[in-house]
Amino acid sequence: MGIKAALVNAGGDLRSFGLKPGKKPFRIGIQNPDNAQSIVGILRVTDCAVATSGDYERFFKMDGKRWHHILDPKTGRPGRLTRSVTVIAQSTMMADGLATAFFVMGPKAAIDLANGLKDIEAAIIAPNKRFYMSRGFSKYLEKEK
Amino acid sequence: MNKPLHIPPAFRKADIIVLLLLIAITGLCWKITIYDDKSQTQVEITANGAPPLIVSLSQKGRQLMEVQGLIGISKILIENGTAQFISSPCPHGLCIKMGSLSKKGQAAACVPNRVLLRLISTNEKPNENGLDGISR
Repeated sequence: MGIKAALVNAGGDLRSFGLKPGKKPFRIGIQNPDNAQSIVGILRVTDCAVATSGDYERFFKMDGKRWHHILDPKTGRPGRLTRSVTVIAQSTMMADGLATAFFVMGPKAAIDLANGLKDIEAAIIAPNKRFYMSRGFSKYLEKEK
Repeated sequence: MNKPLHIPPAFRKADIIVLLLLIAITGLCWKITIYDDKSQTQVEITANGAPPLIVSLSQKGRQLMEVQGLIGISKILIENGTAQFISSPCPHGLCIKMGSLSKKGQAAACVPNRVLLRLISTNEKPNENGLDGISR
């Protein structure tokens, strides 16, 4: 069909290819886990996939605790080490799968693993609001003007 | 001697209150989940990367819009709270086959002509922050 650039958005998991008119990369916001109306950063990407896993999309609260859908296979309970993981990869399947695995692993182990994987970058927001990034992630982040 | 048969009234006062409550809750659920207020919906038409054109879906009558795309003109009909492609210069006419859009969030696209039709809320700012998407 002669499409030179596109961004496919499947419910918040995205894959881009090519550049927008004016040779600009696509700008993807990362949702703030504490506020669905705001973002915590903007990525500038092309020819890659971005997927985020978080505890804020599907959950219920009981006894003051958030019970969400990403379960730690070791405990059978929702993972508690992470609020949100964003992964940049070549395929959306890889980005989505790793985002969920990284979520359960916790920030430090996940960033160590991401640093050892080719063409994979990750950013993690911990429950204490600390932001962890793999070595190459910041090159995708739009700098604040 | 047979005991007289006691037939309870069809509805006691409490039954009527419960029934009214159920009707009210059903109406509220319908309003929240199914009913789509057309006065709160607008059509966003984007052609070939140009800034989007916004048209209200609540307007009376029939409005035919001709939009210049990459390979020709796409005709979009806005009528009775719906919007749809009625002609486009694309080879397969998939955009026309997508039919009429009537609910917020629905979209139809003519990819060869680079024309996108999307129903959005009046509260929704088109392409807020200039973002192309949000990863969530």
